Amino acid sequence: MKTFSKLPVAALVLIFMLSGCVKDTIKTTYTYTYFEPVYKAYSEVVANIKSNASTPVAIPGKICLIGKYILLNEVNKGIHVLDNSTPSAPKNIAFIDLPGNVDIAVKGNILYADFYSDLVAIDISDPKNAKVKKIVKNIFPERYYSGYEADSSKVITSWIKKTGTIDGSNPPIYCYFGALQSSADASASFSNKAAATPVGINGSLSRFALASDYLYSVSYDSLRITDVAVADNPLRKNAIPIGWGIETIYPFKDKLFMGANAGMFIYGISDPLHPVKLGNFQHVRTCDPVIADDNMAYVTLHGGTQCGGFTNQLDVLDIADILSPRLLKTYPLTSPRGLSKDGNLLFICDGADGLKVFTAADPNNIKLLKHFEMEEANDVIAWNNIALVMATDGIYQFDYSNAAGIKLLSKISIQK
Amino acid sequence: MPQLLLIIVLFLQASLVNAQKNKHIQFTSYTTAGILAGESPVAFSVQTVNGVSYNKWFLGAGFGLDDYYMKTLPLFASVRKNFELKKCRVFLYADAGTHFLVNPDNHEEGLYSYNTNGKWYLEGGAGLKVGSGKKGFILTVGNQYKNIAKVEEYPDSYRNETVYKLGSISVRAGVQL
Repeated sequence: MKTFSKLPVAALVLIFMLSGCVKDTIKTTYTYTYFEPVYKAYSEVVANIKSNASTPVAIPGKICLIGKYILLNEVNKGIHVLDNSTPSAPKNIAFIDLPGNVDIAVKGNILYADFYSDLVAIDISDPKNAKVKKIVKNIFPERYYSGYEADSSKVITSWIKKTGTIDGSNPPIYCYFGALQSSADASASFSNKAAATPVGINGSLSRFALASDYLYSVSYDSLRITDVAVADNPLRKNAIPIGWGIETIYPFKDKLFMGANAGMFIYGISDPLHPVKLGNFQHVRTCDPVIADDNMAYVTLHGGTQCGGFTNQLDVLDIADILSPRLLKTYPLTSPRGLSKDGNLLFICDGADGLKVFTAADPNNIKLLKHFEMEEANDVIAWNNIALVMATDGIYQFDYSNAAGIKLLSKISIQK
Repeated sequence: MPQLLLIIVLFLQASLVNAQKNKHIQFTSYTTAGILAGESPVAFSVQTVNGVSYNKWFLGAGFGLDDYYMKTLPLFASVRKNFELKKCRVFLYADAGTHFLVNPDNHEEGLYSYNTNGKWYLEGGAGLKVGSGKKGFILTVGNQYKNIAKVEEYPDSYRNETVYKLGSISVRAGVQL
């Protein structure tokens, strides 16, 4: 009985002892990926802006056709030089190291390329022996890296992927840098064929455009003009504000067509140093490269990205009245990006759906002619019966000399 | 954990066969219901533990339902040691296993996803049996510990793991058969 009466006491003692273990804790471990910059001396980097040994394509960016060569940007690394004398067997012949490069354009023998916030003019008369002719400082002031702004004696040449861990209740602040964007916004178009000096043909996602003696470049909210009358001596001219969310620029005759998040702007460059806004077309917020000819503009709207919106379609605009573009017809697509038109053939990179080729003789009745599956097609240049397509799994070339029998000529695989 | 449970099941099977031959080994079942009390609101708990007794030892497997913080289904192995007193029997017990969420908080949207899963389940304590022979009423007091992990992930960008460590006092009453 004595023992029995002690049991409630023992139970209470046990509960008391266990009370220290009665606790609810909630702990979060934040594991995040970040990129740490690798610096090199500015002088060393500039000395290396030349044709070096070719390297495999890894993260392709903007693309430019000039003569028998293809210049392909390796995002933030430099420019691949491909000899495309034989489109069925292109050769990767050199790599121009150029950190911070995302856009390119070519006039004659001079390649213009951004080098972070600077513009570099490179002589490519001998693509295997490219040489820097001039560097114009701070043409693109927005191309800095928050928190990693190098001093003038250093340049970020690459990024090292690292993982960090924080325990606690406050999540880390995630930083995103334009430099780390994938090739999804990378490029390719066709440009002002009327220019006296041959110019490279850029993709529709390009942010550089050459027209007569000027290089036009767009930032998020402005149009910058660089005088390239003397090709190897680019001179900074003026910059004009043109709204916000500007993504692409496409030159046609004396006009510039600019794709923006919320619409398309048309600027006249009869006076090249003083572009004048002629017309615009508003659409839902989304990504939208644009190409044009005399009477029509073709705009692909691509939603579900950083541009916002969820619209995926082709808008055909009647621009006969340049002051008042009018929507002629809309065609649904999957996830369209870059596009190009040659004659009556319209080529559209439809994201994961691949390349779609349409007959566009009648803009009111555009019909699918051929569909080529590939991994995330991003941009296309259709020129001289060769369609150069940039996708995340490779650079494709198709022969469309026979529209009814478009065939694959070659594919340069991308190093995964 | 599945391997451990398999070993226990095999052991129980072998023990039950032996129990037919050996009068000291016998099948025993504990079924209890009660409360869990801690920093979170008091919650209901019910469980059944079944296994074999040999001399003063018991080894078995149990499952149940508890609603402490999140409703979960514990599945565990259990060891008990009995102590004979004059008019009652007391025992110490230790349970270890895992638990499953009744309503897991899972979501997937493109590459982004989060998943919530039960991890460890542990309980230790003491019990009192009232009644003669094998059968009787039992009362247990213990300390339960369970943890739950919620993993929120965006591949190549971030991974956040939140671990809920939940400790409570358990008080249950039931029957031993």
